[in-house]
Amino acid sequence: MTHGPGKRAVDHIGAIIAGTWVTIQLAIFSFIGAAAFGLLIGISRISPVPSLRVAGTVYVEGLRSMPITVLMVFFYFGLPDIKVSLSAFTCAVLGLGLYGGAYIAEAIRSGVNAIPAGQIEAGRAIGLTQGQLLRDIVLPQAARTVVAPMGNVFVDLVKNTSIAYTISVVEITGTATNLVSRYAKPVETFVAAGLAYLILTIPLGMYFRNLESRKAIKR
Amino acid sequence: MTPSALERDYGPRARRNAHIASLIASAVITAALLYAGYLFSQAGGFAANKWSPFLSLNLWKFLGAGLVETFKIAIVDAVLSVVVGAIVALGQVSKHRSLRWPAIVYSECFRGLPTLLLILFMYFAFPAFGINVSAYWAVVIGSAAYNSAVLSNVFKAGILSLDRGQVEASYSIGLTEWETMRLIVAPQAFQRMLPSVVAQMVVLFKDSSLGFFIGYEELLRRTQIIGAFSENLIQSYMVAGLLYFVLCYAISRFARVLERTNVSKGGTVAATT
Repeated sequence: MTHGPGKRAVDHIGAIIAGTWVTIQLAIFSFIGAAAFGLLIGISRISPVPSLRVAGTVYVEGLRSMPITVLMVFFYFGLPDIKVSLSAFTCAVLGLGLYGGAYIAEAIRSGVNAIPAGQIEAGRAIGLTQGQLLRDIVLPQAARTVVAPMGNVFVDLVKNTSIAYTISVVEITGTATNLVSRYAKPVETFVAAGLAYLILTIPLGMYFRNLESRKAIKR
Repeated sequence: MTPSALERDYGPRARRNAHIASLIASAVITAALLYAGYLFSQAGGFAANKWSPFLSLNLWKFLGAGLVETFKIAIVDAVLSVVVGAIVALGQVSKHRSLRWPAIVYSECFRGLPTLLLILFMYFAFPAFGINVSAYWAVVIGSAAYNSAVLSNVFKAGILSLDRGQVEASYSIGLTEWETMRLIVAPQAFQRMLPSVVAQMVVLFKDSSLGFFIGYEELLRRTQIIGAFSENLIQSYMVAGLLYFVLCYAISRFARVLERTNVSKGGTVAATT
C-alpha cells in the first residue's frame, strides 16, 4: 500500500487489524448465540410437540426471509423509538445471532432428517424412549452430518459482520470506509480490507471442508 | 411438510404427553407474545399517529416505486449471476489448467468476500480507475460477483454429480467435450441444481437491500426515508420486514415445490457458500 509517508501506511494496517479483531469478536459472539438458539429451535422443530414445531417453523422461515440489514437497523434505530437503547455492538450480535440461529436450526433439522427412518423404527422396536432415541441414535449421527452446514453458517456470519457497519460498528468494512473518507485511497484500502476478510474466510472454509470429509457419514 | 420418522408412530401415552406439552408450550408462547405486545403498546408503539401514515396512498406509491427498484436490481442481478456462474462453472470443470485455475480463484475469492464490500468497492474504488459506476450498477455488479461465485459452485456440483460413465460413453461414441456438456451433462445437471439455484435467488433478492448503504433508493432506503419523515422508524421497519418476508417466502416456497418435483429424478445438489 502506498499512503504517502511511510509511517502512515503502518498506521492503516494497524487500523485494519483492529477492525479485524472487532469482526472476529462479532463473529464468535454471534456464532455462540446462534448455535445455542439454533439448537433450541432445531430441537423444537423435530419434537413431537405440534405447537413447538409450528413456532420453530415460523421462526426459521421468518428470519431466513429477512435481509439482515433490516434486523440490525430495527434493533439499533427502531428500538429507541420504544425506549429500548442497546449498544451498536449488542445490536449487531443480536441481529447476526438471531439470523444465524435460523440457519443452524435448519441445518440441525435436515441433519436429523437425513437419518434413515429404519434406524428410528428399530430404536422404537427395541423399546427406547424418545430421549434415549435422540441421545444414543439420532443426535450423534446428526452431529456429524451438520458439520458442513455449521461451517457454512460460521463463514457466512464472518461475512455478514460487514453489515454491522451500517449501525456504526467499526469492524473491517467500517474501518475501511473511515480510512477512505479520510485519506481518499479507496482502491488500496478496500483491497486491504478484502484481504483481511479472505484471510479469515478461506482458511475457515478449508478447515470445515476438511473436518467434513473426516467426520461425514458416507451414505 | 411431511413429518420425519421421529415425529410419527407414537403410542397412545406419548401422543397424550405431546398434546399436553403442546398446550403448555402454546400458552407460554402466546403469553410471551402478548407481553411483548403489551410492552410495545406501553411505549406507544401502537399509537394511531405512528400507523396512520401507512393509510396514505402516496406513501404506498413512494414505497412501491422503491419496490420496483428492488426488483430491477434483483432481476438483472439474477440474470448476470446465472450467466457468469455458468461460465465460471464450465471453467472449473475444464480439462485445461489455464481455464480451470482462474475459475477456481474467482469462485474462492468472491465467495470469501462480503457482498457489501464488493458493492462499496464498485462504488468508491472504480472512480479511481476513471470509471464512474452508478449506485444501481454498483449494487448489481457487486452482488452478482458474489452470487455468481456461489452459483458456479452449485453448477459445478450439479455437473460432477452425474455418473462418470455417461461422460465416458459420450466420448466413446465420438462426441466432443463441448457436445458432451451441451447434450448429455447440462440438461441432467440442470434439473438437479434447480432447487439450489432458486434458493440462492432468495439470498440474491435480500442482497438488493444493500443498496441502502450507498443511498440507492430501493425498498429499505425508502422505508428509512418514510420512517425518518413521519417519525415512526420502528413501525416502518416492521412494514419493510413484512414485505421482504412475503416476497422471499414466495421464492423459497417455489424452490421447495421444484425440489419435490425433482427429487424422484436422481436427487438434488446443495449449495456451499
